[in-house]
Amino acid sequence: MKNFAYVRPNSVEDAVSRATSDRDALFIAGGTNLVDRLKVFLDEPSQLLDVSRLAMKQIATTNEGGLKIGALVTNTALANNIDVRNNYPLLSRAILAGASQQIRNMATVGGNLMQRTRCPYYYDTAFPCNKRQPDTGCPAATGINRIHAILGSSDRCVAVNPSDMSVAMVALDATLEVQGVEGKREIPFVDFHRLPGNTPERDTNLEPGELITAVILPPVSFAQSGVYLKLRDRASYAFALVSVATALEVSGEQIKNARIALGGVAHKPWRATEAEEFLIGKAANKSNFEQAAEIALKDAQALAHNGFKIELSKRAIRRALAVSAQGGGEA
Amino acid sequence: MNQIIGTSVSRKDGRVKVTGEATYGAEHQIPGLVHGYLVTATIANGRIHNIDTKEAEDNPGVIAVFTHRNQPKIFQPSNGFFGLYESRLPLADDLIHYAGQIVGLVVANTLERARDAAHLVKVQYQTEQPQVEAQKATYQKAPSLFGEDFEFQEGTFETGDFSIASSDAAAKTEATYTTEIEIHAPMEPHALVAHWENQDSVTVYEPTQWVKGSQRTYAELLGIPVEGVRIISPYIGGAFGSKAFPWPHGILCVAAAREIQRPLKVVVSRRQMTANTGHRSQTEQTMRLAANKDGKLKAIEHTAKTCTSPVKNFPEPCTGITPVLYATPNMRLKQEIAVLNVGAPTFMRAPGENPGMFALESAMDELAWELNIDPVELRLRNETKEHQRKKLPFSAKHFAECLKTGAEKFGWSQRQMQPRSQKQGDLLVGWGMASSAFPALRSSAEAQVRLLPDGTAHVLTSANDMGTGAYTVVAMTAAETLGLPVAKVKVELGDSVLPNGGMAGGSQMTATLTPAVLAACQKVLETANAQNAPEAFANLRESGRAAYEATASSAPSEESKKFAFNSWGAHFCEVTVDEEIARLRVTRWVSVINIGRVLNSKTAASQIRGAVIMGIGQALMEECHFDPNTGYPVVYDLATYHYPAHADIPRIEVNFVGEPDFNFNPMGVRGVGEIGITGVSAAVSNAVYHATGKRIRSLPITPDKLL
Amino acid sequence: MSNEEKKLSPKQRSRRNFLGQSLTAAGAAIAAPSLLNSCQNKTADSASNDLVEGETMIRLKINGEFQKLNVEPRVTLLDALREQLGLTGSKKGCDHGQCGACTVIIDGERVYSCLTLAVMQEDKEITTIEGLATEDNLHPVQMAFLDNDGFQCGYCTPGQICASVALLDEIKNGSVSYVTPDLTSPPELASLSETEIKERMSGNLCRCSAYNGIVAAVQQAAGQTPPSPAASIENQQVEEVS
Ligand SMILES: Cc1cc2nc3c(=O)[nH]c(=O)nc-3n(C[C@H](O)[C@H](O)[C@H](O)COP(=O)(O)OP(=O)(O)OC[C@H]3O[C@@H](n4cnc5c(N)ncnc54)[C@H](O)[C@@H]3O)c2cc1C
Ligand code: FES
Ligand code: FES
Repeated sequence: MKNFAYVRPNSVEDAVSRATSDRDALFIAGGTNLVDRLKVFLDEPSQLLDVSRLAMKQIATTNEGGLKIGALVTNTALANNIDVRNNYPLLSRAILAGASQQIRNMATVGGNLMQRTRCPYYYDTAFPCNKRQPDTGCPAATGINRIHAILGSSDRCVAVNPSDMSVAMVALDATLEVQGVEGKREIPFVDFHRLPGNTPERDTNLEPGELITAVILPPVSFAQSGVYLKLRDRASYAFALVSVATALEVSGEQIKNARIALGGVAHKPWRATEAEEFLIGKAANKSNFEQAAEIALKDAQALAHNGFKIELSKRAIRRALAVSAQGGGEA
Repeated sequence: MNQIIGTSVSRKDGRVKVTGEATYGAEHQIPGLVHGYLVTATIANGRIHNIDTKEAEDNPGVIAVFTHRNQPKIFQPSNGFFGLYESRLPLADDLIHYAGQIVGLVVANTLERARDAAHLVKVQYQTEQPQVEAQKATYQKAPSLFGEDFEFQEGTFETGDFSIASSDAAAKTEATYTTEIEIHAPMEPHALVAHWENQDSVTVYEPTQWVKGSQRTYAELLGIPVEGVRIISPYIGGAFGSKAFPWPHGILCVAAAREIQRPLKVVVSRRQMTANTGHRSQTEQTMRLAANKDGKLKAIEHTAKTCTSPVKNFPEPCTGITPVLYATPNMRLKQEIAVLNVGAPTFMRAPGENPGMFALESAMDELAWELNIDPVELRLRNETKEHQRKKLPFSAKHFAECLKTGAEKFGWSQRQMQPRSQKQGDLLVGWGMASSAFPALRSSAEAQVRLLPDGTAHVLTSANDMGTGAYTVVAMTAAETLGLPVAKVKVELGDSVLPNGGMAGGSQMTATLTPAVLAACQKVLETANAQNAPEAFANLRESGRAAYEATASSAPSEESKKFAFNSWGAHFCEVTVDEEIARLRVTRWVSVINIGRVLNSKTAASQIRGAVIMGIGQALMEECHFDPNTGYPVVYDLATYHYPAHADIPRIEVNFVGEPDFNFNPMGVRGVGEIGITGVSAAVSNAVYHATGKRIRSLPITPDKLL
Repeated sequence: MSNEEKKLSPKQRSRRNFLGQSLTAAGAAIAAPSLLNSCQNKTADSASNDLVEGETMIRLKINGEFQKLNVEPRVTLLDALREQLGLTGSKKGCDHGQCGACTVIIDGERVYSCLTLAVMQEDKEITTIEGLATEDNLHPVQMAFLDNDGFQCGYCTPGQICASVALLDEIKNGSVSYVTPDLTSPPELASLSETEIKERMSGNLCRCSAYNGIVAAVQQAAGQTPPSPAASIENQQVEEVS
């Protein structure tokens, strides 16, 4: 780890202006991803702007009846918040499925959404990597790629986004509130993370210097049917091979509304909109869930070692939808 | 006399471990300490074209940078017992044999500065295509590991005629089983502090399974007398076979510390450990079994392929256990080896027996299904009374009892025979079992016992406790022999100035050391002319002496050469499989083990549980992979190398059976460290077959294999 | 005592003296050693007045005591504890948040000290394994680990214990986990299931795999009655030694 200057900005504006004037500065919040990266020289910032003491730790009800969550709310606090547990159980479960209690106690909402891929090629400077250093190559594409992307990858990058929280957020149609030197703006969650395309070095559409200040959850009347199912190589404390967030609004026999999002499969949390649309108006039964799963994965492409994730994703979708149809809960 | 042996005693070293006072190797605080950080190769085959250390040297706080151009003084040691994990000395030349090989050491006044400067060392390589894929490698006959007498025999052995015997058999099975590279991954990383008091004497604070062996080897490496080296290793944060001999980083640390004449600490990072501190080779084994209708084995053929490194010829001796388990007149064992561009493979908990028994015990299960015989029954019918290679009878063998007791405790008779027939809601439930076996080894050891007027006894020996419970069983042995409460016995271990306590490897420490402790206790009572310690204390006070002291040693007797010694066991387990989403859980476990006398029913149970869990890890998740193009590891830390967490593990019920094995040693005790892992992965995979009807012959059984 | 010895912790001195004496011939005066004596860490400020370039002086409150030290901003809390303050009870297993050995409790919550910078922890209450026991008494969780053999090599143990201590508070505070069946009704100490304990402790790996004992220790500390850690021994005619 290179040494750096350590600064505690005294306000959001101060943080943003410092970050804007020094492109080599980085924000640090919980530190659980950044300190990890610094130790293996993935980032070499000139200064760390410690935003962790700024006042962005509130969870408040919005006028619309949703929630506004400060960017510094810890993962633990968010997962345990009573409104979240009652109204957005899939968000609680998604967060609780991630990492460990110790990490969740430190990790913040903003940091979680900004965490970078766990691709082992990205994570070790012994390898070239387009994400770390543009135009150096993607050894994962021709190497060991069991955990890599099956959807939306490019020939420049096959990494996946590791965040569990993001999968729930994208399913819930969240919006990010960010602050730059010019002021605040909002970014719909689906548009926040990017596909790799030709610029895998950019994970998100955050502009340099911008700070996430809050995430806004709209009210989702059927979110109580929410399910978060995470499949992995170890029963706990492991990243997802595949994860699925679902929610269903079923009235009588008919599906009125559906949400399906996948984690561990793409460079961004993957919203399966087409599959959702397919379900609307259909009966909540096994065969329709199967078809929805097929639709969600129809564009999936396998690399040498990750073909199983296509089938696993389909099955996870089927299962999660079935549980959502029963009203939600543990899957 | 108070009975202590066989009871449940809390760890002697427990208090210091739960309070954080226990000081592990590199945690010793030495004034003036400086830090070393390794520079490791990013290619797996080739040579160093150029190495530029200027920038590193100019970095603040940097004291020295060592590369092959200025290798600190190191001598080739004589090749005694096994010698070094890696035959090549660190920084010997410009050649690169595997990714992660040490190419430099940067020394600075803080850890952060050393690590930073190590990253600034610029190495240019001439790269050649590495070979890291076992399937593509060229195999040849494997060498012998230790010669005939040792349990790791040469892999090739033949009796009878396999082909004739199998030609008219009622049932035959043939299958190939594979296991992946596993790493020891002890919780305490490899780390040490070397402190030269002057040019001729050094204290090495390093976790080592073999204090006296390290002392001797370091002395040879440094070209100084053995007395010039002191090894201090009071606590070891896990080793599993990976901390018995000096590794290159240790040699380099001690040699570099001499050059700079400053106490030097080197901690191998978790990533560096993957390539640098050993692993268990991947294996590919083919088992052919032939049996009569009644299940009697007519023939066994077991061939194994394992891989090794350019810097060490180490075969994983998979076939060694086969002649021990089941009787058959016709047996053919063959072992082959290939060289890959990987670091040195080495001993890892039950080296050979573990993968070997995955193949053998899976094959036995397949045979049982083929013949429609209960797998427990099939094993009972094939028990052998003698070691078929050594031609010696087994001593105090209770294998059948393990099988029967295990079946009873588990409720095996309730098993529904057909695969896929047991359900729990939507989950498939499978029951599986496998045998367990590990040789009982013993060598010689020495211990010193001292009785003091304050009413305490001290036991001193260089042996060590890496979590095995040695502190406690030594204290228990002394307490019982001396007629004292355990609390009155103090034990000092892990220091080379103490009498030679032997090596903690091959599960032999307890069987080797406790007889020496017993002998020393008896001798000190003789010296004191007393029946027990309280009497001796009285004599001591009367005479005004400061202490009674005696040293004694113990070694295997001539008598013991008439027997083959082995430990036995049986594992029974339940798994559930959520088939749709490929979610497998181990939900119940019963192990019945026969190790002669059990000294401490608490710590012995923990040893078995720990081994079973490591076996469950092997069965379900442990695998290390290297990038096929560059040979660099892509599974290199505890997030990418999964081993079981709390959530993966059910309660494990441990039972011991059988009487003390006094043919083996005067304590009647055989080792307990490794037996527990053997057969575990087969039991799991057999249960998965019972649950799903799917036979998985390649470990680990990750979700992709269940789809 | 030589100058160098003075710089050693009392624990190390006692070890050296003991061993030194162990080399003297039997019959010579031998002081009773305190092999397993209690740890006394450096409590004096380890900050000297002269700051090296790149360093800042910070004040940390550890186990109730303020400590001043000079650190570069890049120094993690774990390295500050271990390398600068001599508090080696917190272990480094992976240095990357992947094992739990470095777990400490900050402002009542368990965290990995390897993933936070020391400079970030000013003004916080830091509790390490060294701060749990009092002079005379082990913390009930420490006692429970001893009773249930919740460790072997002991290297993951300080982290497991700190995690367990915090876990019990989390339960008291009504926290939920991934395996809580109904997120609106968190478990209580008396009803805390093994499944819950295991999920909540999964951020602490143990390669010796003392998992059964650790779960039992948490159960004991939660006021439950765990199964005995000992094995059953059958048909073993235990004969007396000698
Ligand atoms: C072993 C391990 C296992 C893990 N397992 C999982 C898992 O299973 N699932 C999962 O989802 N995650 C997992 N994680 C990741 C963990 O959730 C993240 O590290 C954490 O959420 C990051 O939050 P933080 O506040 O600590 O971020 P930091 O480390 O402080 O920051 C991360 C990044 O975000 C930037 N940043 C922080 N806050 C802001 C802000 N407000 N605005 C803009 N940028 C900001 C920082 O500059 C930095 O680049 C795991 C981590 C580890 C180490
Ligand atoms: S050392 Fe911090 S989690 Fe492993
Ligand atoms: S006790 Fe050794 S790692 Fe847990």
